[in-house]
Amino acid sequence: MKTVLFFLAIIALASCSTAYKSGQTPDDIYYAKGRTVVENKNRYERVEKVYEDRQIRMAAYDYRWRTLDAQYDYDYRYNPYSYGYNYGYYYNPYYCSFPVYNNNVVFVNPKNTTIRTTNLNSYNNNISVYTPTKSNGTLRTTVVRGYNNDNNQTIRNTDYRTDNNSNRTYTPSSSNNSSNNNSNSAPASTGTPVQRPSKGSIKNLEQDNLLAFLKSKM
Amino acid sequence: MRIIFTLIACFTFIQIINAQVPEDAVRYSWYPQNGTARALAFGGAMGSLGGDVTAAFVNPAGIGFYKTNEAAFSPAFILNNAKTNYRGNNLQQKQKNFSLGTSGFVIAVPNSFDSKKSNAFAIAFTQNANFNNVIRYKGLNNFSSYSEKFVEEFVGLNTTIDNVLNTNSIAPYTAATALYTYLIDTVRVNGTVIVKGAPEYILDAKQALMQEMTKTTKGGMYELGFSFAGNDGEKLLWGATVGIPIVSYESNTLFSENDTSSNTANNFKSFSFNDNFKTTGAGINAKVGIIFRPKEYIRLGLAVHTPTYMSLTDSRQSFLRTELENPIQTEETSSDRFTENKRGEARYIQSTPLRVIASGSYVFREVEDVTKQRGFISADIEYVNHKGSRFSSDAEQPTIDEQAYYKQLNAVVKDIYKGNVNLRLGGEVKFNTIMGRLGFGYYGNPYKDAPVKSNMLTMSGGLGYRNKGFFIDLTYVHLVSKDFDIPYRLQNTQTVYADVKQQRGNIAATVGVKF
Repeated sequence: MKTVLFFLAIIALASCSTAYKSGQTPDDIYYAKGRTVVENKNRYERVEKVYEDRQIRMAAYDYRWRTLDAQYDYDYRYNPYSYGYNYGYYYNPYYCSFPVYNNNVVFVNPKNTTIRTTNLNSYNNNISVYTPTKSNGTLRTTVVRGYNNDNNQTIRNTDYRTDNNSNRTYTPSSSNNSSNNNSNSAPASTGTPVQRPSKGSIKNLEQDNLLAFLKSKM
Repeated sequence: MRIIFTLIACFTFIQIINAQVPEDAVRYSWYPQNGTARALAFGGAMGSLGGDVTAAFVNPAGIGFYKTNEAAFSPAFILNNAKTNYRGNNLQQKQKNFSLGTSGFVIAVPNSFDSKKSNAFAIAFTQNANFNNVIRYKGLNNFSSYSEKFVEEFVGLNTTIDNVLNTNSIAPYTAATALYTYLIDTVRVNGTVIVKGAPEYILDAKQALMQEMTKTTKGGMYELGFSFAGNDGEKLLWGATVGIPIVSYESNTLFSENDTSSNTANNFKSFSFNDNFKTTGAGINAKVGIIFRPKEYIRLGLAVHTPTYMSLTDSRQSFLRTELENPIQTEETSSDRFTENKRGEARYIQSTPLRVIASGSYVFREVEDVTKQRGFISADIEYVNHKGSRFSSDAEQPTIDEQAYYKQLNAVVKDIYKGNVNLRLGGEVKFNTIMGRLGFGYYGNPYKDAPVKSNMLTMSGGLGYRNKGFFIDLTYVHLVSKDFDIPYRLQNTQTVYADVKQQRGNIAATVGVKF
């Protein structure tokens, strides 16, 4: 994609011809003079003339435009094809008394099966630390998120050995939709069971892969 | 809005699983300012200066300074050098890639009725964030194991092993692969059945695991902008940009743990976990701004960037290989076994935080004659509310579980991030057709509570040449960043992390033409 963009940009730039070949390159950061335009002092007169011309042209095709009073029916002269509740609709040959909606559009929502959640509780691993106060040096407890990047200052948490540690205890619910530690229900898997290899079986993966390869060729 | 995003997303059904984590939030909000080579050279301080197509993505009012038409193209080349420290062990990784600065067209429209008024349109493209990088770290860890993450996830599901080991599993990438290869398994301790990772036997024996992480990321966050700006009597300029961000992010993480002892009967030898996911999508945002000139030469700017609402799709696949001892056994599997032999796919909506930019600049000699233009100085101060990122389901009627998960996810984002302040400062000296520039940028810490006070510093310098309707700018930006990387998080346990110090050289060029 980047390569395509690169070449498109080169072609686009190369095709540009500059109007400043013989002079300085204007710098818009500082100040550049724009293209010279003839300042029109009679702006509003000109705009009015445009509308009058448009009305004359339309009147040649449709008699209703001939009875138009530009002093009062000013709304729809901008858009005689407007729909809905606009003022002056009785002059509009395409008038419809109510807004038109298309209700036949069907939106297909992508299906969802299950939610994969990361363990968000691990972001709240607040740990109490003791820090001396500035005034008298006594220790106070501060709750912070614990981080470490040093093997010398850390002690492994072996709380999982305790019987009541819910982070480790295997107590599958009889109902898969019951609440759990993550406040998220665990819906039942909807496919077919996958049998895991038997524990302790000595497998030679290279041999397995070779056998699978040979089977696929048969 | 959801209907629009639903239409943007493709309708094909693959296995759809939501997969968002808090780290996704800051990826799309904490990055240095990109721009044309000229803007990069003076630090990207474009908030009040204007007259450069970069303004479309900083303060669109700056497009209003254009009185001439312009086309510009900005290729760039990036050299990354990441140094990591993980538990006392240092590693270094280098990487290089192409990038794209702000490029586009600006069309100036003079006012037929008042020569002091004008308008300008711009169509511009930029790369907001460049994700191409490689981070690698390695070290001995006597404290925790990556396998414990799988353990906690499985226990948290509160379900049976059989329910997880399924061709359409509820935890296909982590717990299912770990259970299948016996990286984690149930074991009875003091009469209680617990779930335990095989590497924990090494840690329980007061020995350390050799851990190694290689994270390769690719892609970028691009943005197509359509700007319209007006100049009201050279005193007040205003502008707006409708931006369409396009996200393409690919992450390939390889994490391994090894038993470094010679003991062949301590239950564990090694595992390697390969986690690949790709995020693609698009969104919409708006940027509005004004620039006020109280006096000639002085410009004051204010811009607001709305949150970007993005419809994103993640596709994911993992692979796990485990080597056990006592008895010796090696098992390996792909997550495809648990996702009906297809990559899992997740769709969701993410919004990025609001940005506010206030800025000022002083321009020496705002005159038409190029030979008399002398230079400028410019400064931006930007506030980004990183904790304002939000995730939500893309479903019209999300389930109670989804709602609960997203609510907790957004609470975590709000809890671990904070608003930060970014500063950009720079200037230019002009000598007729030649220009010299210098710039500086500081991007503050977006984390509320982190092991490292993260920040990014940019130092830049460049040269420019403008003559006969063409211009070319060359810039070098040196970025020094201090950050951290967390391989895994565990409940009620200190989080292990790696220090990541990065130096990035960005060689940028812009070629353009006035027409």
